[in-house]
Amino acid sequence: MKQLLYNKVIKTVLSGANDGAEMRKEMSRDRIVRPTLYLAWNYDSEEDALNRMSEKGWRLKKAHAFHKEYVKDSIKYIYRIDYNPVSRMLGGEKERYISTFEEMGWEYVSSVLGWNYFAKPVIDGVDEDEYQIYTDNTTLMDALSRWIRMARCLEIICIFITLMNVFAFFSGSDENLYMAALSLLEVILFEFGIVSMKRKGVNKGKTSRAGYVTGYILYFMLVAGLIATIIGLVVRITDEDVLKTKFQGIHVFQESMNYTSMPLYFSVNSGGNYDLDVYGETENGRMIMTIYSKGEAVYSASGSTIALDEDIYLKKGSYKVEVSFEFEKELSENFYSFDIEID
Amino acid sequence: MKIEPLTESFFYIMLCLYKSPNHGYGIMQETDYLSGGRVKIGSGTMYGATSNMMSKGWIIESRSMDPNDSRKRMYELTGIGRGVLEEEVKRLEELTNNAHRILNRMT
Repeated sequence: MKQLLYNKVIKTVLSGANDGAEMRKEMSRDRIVRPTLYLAWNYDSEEDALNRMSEKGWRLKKAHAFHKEYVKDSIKYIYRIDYNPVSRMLGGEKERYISTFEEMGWEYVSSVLGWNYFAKPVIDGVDEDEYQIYTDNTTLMDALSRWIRMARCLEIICIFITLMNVFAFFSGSDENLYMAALSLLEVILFEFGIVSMKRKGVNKGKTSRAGYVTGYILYFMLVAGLIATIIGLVVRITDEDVLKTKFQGIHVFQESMNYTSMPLYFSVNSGGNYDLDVYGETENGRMIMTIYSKGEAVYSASGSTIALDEDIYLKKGSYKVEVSFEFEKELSENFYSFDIEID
Repeated sequence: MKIEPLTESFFYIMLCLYKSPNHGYGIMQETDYLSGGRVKIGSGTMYGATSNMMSKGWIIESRSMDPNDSRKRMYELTGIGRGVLEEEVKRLEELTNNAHRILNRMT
């Protein structure tokens, strides 16, 4: 008897486990993930897409910035998306916001970056007005202006980024031109979005439908732009150090010695590089140019003609530049030497 | 203080709170009933309008007195809110009285 019971329990447990596995398998087939990309002001598109998914038997489970999770559900839903950053806060006001919707038959699905998704089951014969969340122009305008306010702030940041990059470009950093163009594009997009949102408030024919769709791509572009600009600025700051060196601009020394003339140009370039532009020639023998740091040679060039046009990188510190001459394998006793200080 | 005309939603929400505190759903139903189904208040509008009126001090949040229903959020008209509604009714009466006088004279 005991054995029998034992067997039964084992069987139940086993079959239970089996059911679980089956169920999980079933579950995984009942859940799909779809990528989504919408601009905030194309406001019907995302709601319509969700409604179409619901007609196909897929209920929105969770909305993410760039994708959505759906689960199988035969109940038809109407979706509304509302922008209200209150959902990002904790506490009473968020609860009041969601419960106001729930009291009126809306199911709260989820929120992404202040965009809140609500669903209401479709009941035949119910007036279409029951599925509108904004039924009055004043409150619709308030809702639209919530988004517009946020977009304005971000737009101003983008203008700021654009200006910083334009300045960086004019002070010699070519790659900042692309950043400037990118952030300018973002300013234009935000402005376009703001105008589109405003038009929705004015265009009465559309005011009853007040969900709008998310423009996450703008947020991410903005973050990327900020990071790139900050990196760009840090690079500019290191350049600033170089620009402050005493060795700024063109230094020339020119003197004849042992049939030699040698103009030597040092000019400062971006990124801590010195643009070394040397031209020298000797009629006999060869010339040697060496740059020393703390007594050690860090750069050297030699020949009967030195014609260099290249970048050399010099870190902060003191350097000594020495130019000497070799004539019939004898090192000349005379040489030019001067110090550079990079601070 | 000059008060702007109230929107229909604002007007009905305050009207529904005049006698006693009420919750969002109750306000929506009563508005629907009073206006014969003409004025609907959606949830976004309800949230926006109540937020606005609370910030102006026209209404406050309160909890239901009913012990079975103590979790329910209610709205209550304040003294200022009462004054605003009464002023608005006076303004509307003036409008309709004048309109009637002129329309009746024409017929």
